[in-house]
Amino acid sequence: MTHLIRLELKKIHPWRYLLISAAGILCSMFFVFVALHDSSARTRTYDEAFRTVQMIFAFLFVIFFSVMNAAVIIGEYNHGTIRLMFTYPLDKKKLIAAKLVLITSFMALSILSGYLICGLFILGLGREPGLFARPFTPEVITGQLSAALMSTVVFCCLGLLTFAVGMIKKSVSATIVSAMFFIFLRQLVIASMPEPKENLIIVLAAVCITAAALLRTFARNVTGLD
Amino acid sequence: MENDRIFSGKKVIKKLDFWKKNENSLLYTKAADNRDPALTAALLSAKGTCKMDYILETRDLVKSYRDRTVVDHVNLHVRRGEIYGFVGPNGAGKSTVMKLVMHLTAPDSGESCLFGEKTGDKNFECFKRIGSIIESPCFYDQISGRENLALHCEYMGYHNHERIDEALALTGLSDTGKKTVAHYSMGMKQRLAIARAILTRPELLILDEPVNALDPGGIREMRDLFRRLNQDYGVTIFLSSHLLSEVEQIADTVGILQNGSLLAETSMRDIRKFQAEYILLETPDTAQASCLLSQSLGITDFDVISETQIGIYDKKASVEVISAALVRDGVTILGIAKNKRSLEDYFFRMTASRNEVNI
Repeated sequence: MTHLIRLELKKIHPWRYLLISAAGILCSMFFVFVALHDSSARTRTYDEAFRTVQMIFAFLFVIFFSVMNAAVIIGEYNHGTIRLMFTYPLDKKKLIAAKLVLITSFMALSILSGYLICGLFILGLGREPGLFARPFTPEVITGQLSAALMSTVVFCCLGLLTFAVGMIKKSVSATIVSAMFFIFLRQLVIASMPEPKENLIIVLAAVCITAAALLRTFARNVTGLD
Repeated sequence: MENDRIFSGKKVIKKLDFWKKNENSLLYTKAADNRDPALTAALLSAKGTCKMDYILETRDLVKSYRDRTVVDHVNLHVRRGEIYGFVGPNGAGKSTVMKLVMHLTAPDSGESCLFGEKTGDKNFECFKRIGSIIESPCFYDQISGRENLALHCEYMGYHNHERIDEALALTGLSDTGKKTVAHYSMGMKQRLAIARAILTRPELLILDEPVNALDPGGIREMRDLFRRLNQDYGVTIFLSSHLLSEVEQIADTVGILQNGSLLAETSMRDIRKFQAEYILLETPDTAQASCLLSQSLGITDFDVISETQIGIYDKKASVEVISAALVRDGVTILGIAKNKRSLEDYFFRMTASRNEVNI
């Protein structure tokens, strides 16, 4: 599997995706900066600032995940190069799984790096007198750390679900449109919670649904080129 | 009982282990030649039920898309070391059969065997011994031809990267440098696809329309290359084409596919018998000429090919005698000459007879 992932890395030009990811994180920092300095806003808390980052990341990374799925996996079906891949003495499902592992690892690392950078940025901004209603305490870190980890898992699950949808008809547009639908669904679920962020139940539900969708996709939609 | 004896024999088990480790095709061939019947039986038991007389074999392959049957009970037999030409008009189902053979698509029923093993999702090891071009050649466009071939080596588990230069030279692509494949012409892409197919020195080449998009010079070069690979290295070649003249020049066996059905699987030796000389008579009055041929000259082996053409296959018939008789009876002659039938004639005869049956 590691050999296959290494070969995939040779093909996809990872620097291009790293640059897009870095640009996305920079944009998020800018957006947070503007939101925190909005003079019309009421008093702000660290919790709100981090939730803003989560919301931006939900849009940014789930759509980015779907774009990577479209470019790296579904694009191979559309351009016909998958026909070549399937003539190699390798397990076809393993080939696709290697691509998916690579994308998911890349996205998880990007999201976690994004949280780290934006978190440090927010803490840095917190030094500005009067920006936040309450002063910084270590509980802010521990609370946001688990939220960041849980949202990372949920965003990756949503990204994987876009793969499952896109693979039904091997459609790039279906992949990207489904990303928007899943983001909307996530916002809807989060908004209905007493505390508007991911919790263990949401994470477990997302993991179970994604696992089922992936199993179905690998059983039905991966190897056929009809 | 016989098999039990075979498997308990240390010698055979030792040979079987050797074969498993090396996938040595020569051992296969020796076994199939009946020089070692015990080994043949052991190999057959160990590797499934397919016969090893054929390097590629299909049994009653059927594939339908919606309500249309595109491959209809096709039984192909490709022998080791031969060049098999798979011909048929566009849309006959040649590419679909090739995809079924490579298990790129699953058949509705029937099976295909490569190297005596049934193909399937879990049987992919045999692909190490195959080079293929299926449908139009596809590459990673943003990297060079050389990088595409290097990537191919990695996926195939082939570590002799020096072969890349050799394959590029054989296909006339040595001087492409770092040019990305996106900037290649169609002909160059076709050559690169052939380079990729032959790169790992496969035992079997499965080539779908390999000379498409090549100029006449390129077609000749590739034909010579295929011949050399077959004769010097014993590579078995299964190629499809709608260019009958190309297949005629290179193939040992020809399979004719029409509307998804295999009409005939004939050796070129037999087709060459069919290709014997005949007399082509052109006359506006084919009815009277036919009467004269059968009644006055006693010639019965002839066909009315068209409204103005008659093909006379009787070996004893001579142009002089026929023309003299026709002139004597006042039958107008537009032309009369000796001719040779081509694979094209054979192909049309086969497909026409099938159409008549269908009608």
